[in-house]
Amino acid sequence: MYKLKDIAYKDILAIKELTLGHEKITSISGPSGGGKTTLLRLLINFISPDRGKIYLKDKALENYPPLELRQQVKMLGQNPIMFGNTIEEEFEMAAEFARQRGYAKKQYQNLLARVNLNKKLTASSTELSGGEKQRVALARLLLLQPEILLLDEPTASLDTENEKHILHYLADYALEEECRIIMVTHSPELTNSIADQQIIIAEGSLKEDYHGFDS
Amino acid sequence: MDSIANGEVIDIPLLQLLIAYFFVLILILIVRKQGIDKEKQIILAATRMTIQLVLVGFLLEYIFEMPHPGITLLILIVMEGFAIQNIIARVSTELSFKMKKVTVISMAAGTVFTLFFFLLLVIGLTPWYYPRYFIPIAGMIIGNSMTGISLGVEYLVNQIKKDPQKIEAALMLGASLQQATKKVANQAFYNSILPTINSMVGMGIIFLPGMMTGQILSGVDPLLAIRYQIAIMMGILGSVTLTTFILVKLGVRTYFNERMQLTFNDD
Repeated sequence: MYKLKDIAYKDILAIKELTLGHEKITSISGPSGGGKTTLLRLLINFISPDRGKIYLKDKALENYPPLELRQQVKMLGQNPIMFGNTIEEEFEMAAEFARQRGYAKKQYQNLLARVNLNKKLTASSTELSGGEKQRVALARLLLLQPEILLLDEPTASLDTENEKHILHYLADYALEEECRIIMVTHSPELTNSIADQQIIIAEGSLKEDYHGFDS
Repeated sequence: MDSIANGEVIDIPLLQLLIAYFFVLILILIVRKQGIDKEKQIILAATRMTIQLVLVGFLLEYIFEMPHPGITLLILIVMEGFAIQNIIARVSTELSFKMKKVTVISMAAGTVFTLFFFLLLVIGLTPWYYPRYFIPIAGMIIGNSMTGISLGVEYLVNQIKKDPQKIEAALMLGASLQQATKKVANQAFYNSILPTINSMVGMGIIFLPGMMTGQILSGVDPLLAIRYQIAIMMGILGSVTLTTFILVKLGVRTYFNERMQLTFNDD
């Protein structure tokens, strides 16, 4: 899906060649400050490389109208941001942002159950703990069924049990919804059990690419 | 007493005007006694006010005697210029060139439209450039819009810089630029119109507005004075609404490039 050709962004990241998103789940790991988040931000076109090109389905990112690109690719940042007052409003706002209306409350409830969050839809979303917010933000994103999901440490604030649960759910989701997931992870040992492609980024460059496609 | 009853204005002879400066003296005495060390500033302010008003008085007298559309427009441009300069200086953060441009456009478009709408349709002024009406009304409209826009710019600029994550989080879900900035834009707009709304609520009970007071003092029938006051408040409301709406709509765009990337946030 994505092809990166000789890209560089400031002195944060430089990648000669990389193909990713061809497999269901790609994990990106490496020490913090190494450029992992920058890579995700490049992929959703929040920033543009100073040099080189990024292609999505053989079309350069800069040739996509921004909204069309972000219709296909959606992202979850490291800090879950709440938009509404209740959990229900979080789902509604996400649907509104994506211009995808007409969901039923039942779907919200199902998603909450899938991310292992036992809360009512009427519960306040701003008073949740960090880990709970992260799960609401993930559920809200999964509702939209994007083609490509970029996740920046989606399990960072979760305990190991919940982390395992979410990772397995993501693996199922990718399969059921035919969605590609590219996720930055802080715990590669857990994530790699579900990842089809593993990438390591350190000091701004690619270290290993176990199952990368030759392009 | 007869002349007062007939609605004539009482003259203030120069000597009596000097007596009014007594209050400045009181302030200076207090400040000196308390060791506040601001006498210079107070004297400067009182002097500036006096000189500025005397000059304006002569200028207006001259302009009123020989109305000319060119001069009226020139004064309008000067007022707009000072107002815009004041807005840019008042905002606590340095505005980008684009944001300054947006401020100029919204001030000019909003105030000029409202001013002519008001003068031509509400007052029915002929000729349109008659300075006795044009200049004070332009002053009130521009002055209030200036206050409104300053509050709007201040909030918009600081909030976007303070919390870009929220805007980006909405963009990550596929939001349009308008959706992602809706909350901050709405709050900036509300902050701008709030002083005008508040002053409408208190008007006539908590205070008598300056224009109405002035008219009553100069012998205008209170019932006519309130008509003017109501009309001018609507004009002010209209102008503040228009200027800040344009500002907010165009202002948020200055933070994005054509790829819908937040431009100041590229690390």
